[in-house]
Amino acid sequence: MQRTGRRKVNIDSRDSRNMDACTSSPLRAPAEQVYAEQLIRLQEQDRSPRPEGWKLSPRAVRSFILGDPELAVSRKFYGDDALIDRCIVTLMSNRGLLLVGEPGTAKSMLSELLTAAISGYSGCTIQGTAGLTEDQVKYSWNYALLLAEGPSPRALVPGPMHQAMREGVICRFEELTRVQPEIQDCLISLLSDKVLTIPELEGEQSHLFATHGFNVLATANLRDRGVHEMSSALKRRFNFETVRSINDRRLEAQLVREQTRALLKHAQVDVVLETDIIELLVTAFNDLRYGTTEEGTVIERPAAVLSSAEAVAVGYAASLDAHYFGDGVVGGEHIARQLIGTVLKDNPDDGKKLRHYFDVVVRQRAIKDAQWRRVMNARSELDR
Amino acid sequence: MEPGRLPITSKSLRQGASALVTPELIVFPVRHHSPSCAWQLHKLLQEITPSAVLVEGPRSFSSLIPLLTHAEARMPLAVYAYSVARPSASEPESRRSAFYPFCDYSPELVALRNASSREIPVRFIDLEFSELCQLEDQSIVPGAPVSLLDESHYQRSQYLKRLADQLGCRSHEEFWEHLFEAPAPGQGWREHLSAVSAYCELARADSSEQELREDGTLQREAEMAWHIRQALDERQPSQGPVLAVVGGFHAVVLPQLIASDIQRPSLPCRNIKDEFNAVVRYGFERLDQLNGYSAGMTSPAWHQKIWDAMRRKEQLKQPVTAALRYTAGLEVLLDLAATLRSTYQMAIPTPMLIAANEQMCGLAALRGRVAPIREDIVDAVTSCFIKGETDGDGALIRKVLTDQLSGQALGHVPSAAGVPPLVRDFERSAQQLRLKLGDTRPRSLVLDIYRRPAHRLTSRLLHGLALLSVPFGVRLAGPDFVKGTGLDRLLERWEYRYTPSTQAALVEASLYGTTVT
Repeated sequence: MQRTGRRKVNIDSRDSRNMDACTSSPLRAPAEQVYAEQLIRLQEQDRSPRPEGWKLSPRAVRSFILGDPELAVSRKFYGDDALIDRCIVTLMSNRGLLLVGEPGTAKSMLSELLTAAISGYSGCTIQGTAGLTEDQVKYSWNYALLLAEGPSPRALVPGPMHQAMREGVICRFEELTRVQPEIQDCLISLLSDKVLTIPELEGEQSHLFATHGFNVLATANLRDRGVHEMSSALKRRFNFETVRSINDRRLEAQLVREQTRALLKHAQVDVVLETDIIELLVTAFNDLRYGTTEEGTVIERPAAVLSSAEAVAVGYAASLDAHYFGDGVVGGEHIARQLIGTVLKDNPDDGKKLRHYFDVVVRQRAIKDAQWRRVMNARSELDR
Repeated sequence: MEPGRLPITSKSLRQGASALVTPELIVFPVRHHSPSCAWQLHKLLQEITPSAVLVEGPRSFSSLIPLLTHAEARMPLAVYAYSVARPSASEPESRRSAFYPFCDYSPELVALRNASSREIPVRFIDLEFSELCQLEDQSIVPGAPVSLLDESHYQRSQYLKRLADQLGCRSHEEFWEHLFEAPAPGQGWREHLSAVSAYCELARADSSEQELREDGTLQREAEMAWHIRQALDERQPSQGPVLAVVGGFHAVVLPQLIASDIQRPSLPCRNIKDEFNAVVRYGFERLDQLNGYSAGMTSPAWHQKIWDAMRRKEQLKQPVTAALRYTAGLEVLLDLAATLRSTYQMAIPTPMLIAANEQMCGLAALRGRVAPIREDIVDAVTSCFIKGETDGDGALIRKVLTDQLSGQALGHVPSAAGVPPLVRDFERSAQQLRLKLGDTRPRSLVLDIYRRPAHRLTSRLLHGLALLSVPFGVRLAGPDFVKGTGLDRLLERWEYRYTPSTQAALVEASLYGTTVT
């Protein structure tokens, strides 16, 4: 989902920025809304010291993300607990945080959770694109007022950076490396001096000093097509943290199961999603991701990204397929159909690799297992 | 009550701990190679004058104590033990060997040094290595070095694992460092002893009696208990307590064993063809690897740094608190930066160091530690020094850091140490064949193996050493009869160099025989 960098911003208290009571719930509510109860509970029980400008103490932020059974706070991030510690300590310091890693490793989700917990607001976001300009980052003008009255604070339309520095919240910058290097570099002085200069205004108003609680949380995919190298001056102002995909199969199966069920519950879709189907899904993903199967067969890895996020998406889509077009029980053929759609993206070779996978690995497994046999039956989809 | 099966309540844990300290006997539980245990033992020894000091280790090592505590000896050293058993009706000939490493921060060495300097009787009280070999039917992993100080019980314990997970510790080493190493400098020895005792009791509660009998633990504890009882019988009422320094896992059951009517363990009879102990020089790299296999404490250079800092503060009569760990952590970061700048030409500006130091302190505070531990330093380096993906650009930095924390120190064996027959045989052969062993300079050699018999003998000796993996000579050119290449060549060219590792490797190879060729 592309969001433009420009935001219309209400300069009043932050509460009014939360979604008003709409007639229907949004497709995807922000984390601070979805987990509002958990955040309130954590805040009430929070006894540890809080850095200035933070809504929760660092320990409470940690509990929010990693879970606290005693306070009925769910675990939201799986795989690397020490990463969360390092992210929290970085955000307390004077350097920004840059999350890097393969696509689908939950960088943006982590970014949203951290800002929701620390600042209570995850909406101060800049979406990095090749066409991003500086006024979409810092501030721009209401041109009618500008021409009528000349430069004044009333004519200024604050960008996300301006808003974050004034309010003392964390500014999220998604896909930092897709932005042109010249625009990336405007962050350098913002991060080192923590001051935003507005030359058009005069006197005190020409400098906006950041309030306590301000920081920048960026995400980047360092090895994709269409990314620009960051300058070393900019790199120095960030702590880099690599978010890895989940290595533990049991953990991944648990994650896929929980996330898929949550999505289905939100869509109010009632299907039977058994554990063995989840195992099948996770096994197929692991085989294609790592290139070797449990039996030891070596297969070629498709170029398409096969992260846990894709696995959840496949599980969800398969469940919807079974609900609306099937008999309400998710089977191997539903998974197969969605898997084929996920793997076949833009690389024609991936079709060959997937056919090979079906012919060699799935055929072998279909001899013994009923669900894998159903997967094999969907092979005709590949030849379409 | 059966040893090791105490019901676990905080009352029973406290009772267990207080049973370890009585006016007649102090059983001091330790983790091997733990600076915190060494430090607390050091403080205890300043308070009391024991009547006898007993240390966990094969009995025959007692004769090596003068060498280990010799003024010329420099740590790390190890006692290398091997045992060759004659073949019997049911089993073939078996050759087994193992190491018992010592560092400056080994609690055992602290005890040995202190007792020797005060002329207090000190001895080792465990089963002999040959006896241990007869008990254990473990399969040996070929190639993996064997340690006599294996601590896998703590790593396997489910209780300890759950406690570690609750505290957010990723490994059993992080867990130990968090609970014991970080607070140790500022703690009193009694408090430390109780905590270690509780830790070990939890580990003990997870092991079944059958497991402990199969791996020889119960028999070893019986032997140690018997020796402690002997020392108690010999003690005069006016003297200080008997002090036993043993691994904590064993320590927690010893008071009960001693109080009950324990007999020395009965061991199966086996013909020992050859057994030998020697003090050999050891290195931090090997210690790191050995302790990695045997669930001991790794990163020796880091622990050595902490130990040196505590001793330095003591000598300067300054208070020894956990705060010295902050300084030690910063030194690690500075050393790492220096290495990266000089050897790898990486740019590490000062603000990066400041950031890393701040990150280390922040992580220690977030994780609820009174001072940083090794994992905090590694995490700080991961956050602040690596400007890219951790597995890509960061792999080199992490490797340099791991090597630095592990260290390269080598020990020095006093010249008074004896040498096994293999070493003597090698030296004699080398002298006859006119090889120079006086210094460590590399020398080249050309051998005419077809026309000169003396050269053939030299070639045989050099090939023999290469077969035993003794670092001495490297063949640069010549006919290779194994691969079948270069068979038209008449001359072999070798480069050889006599280093201390040559002698150490020869001592270890003496497991296999008494002559090289």
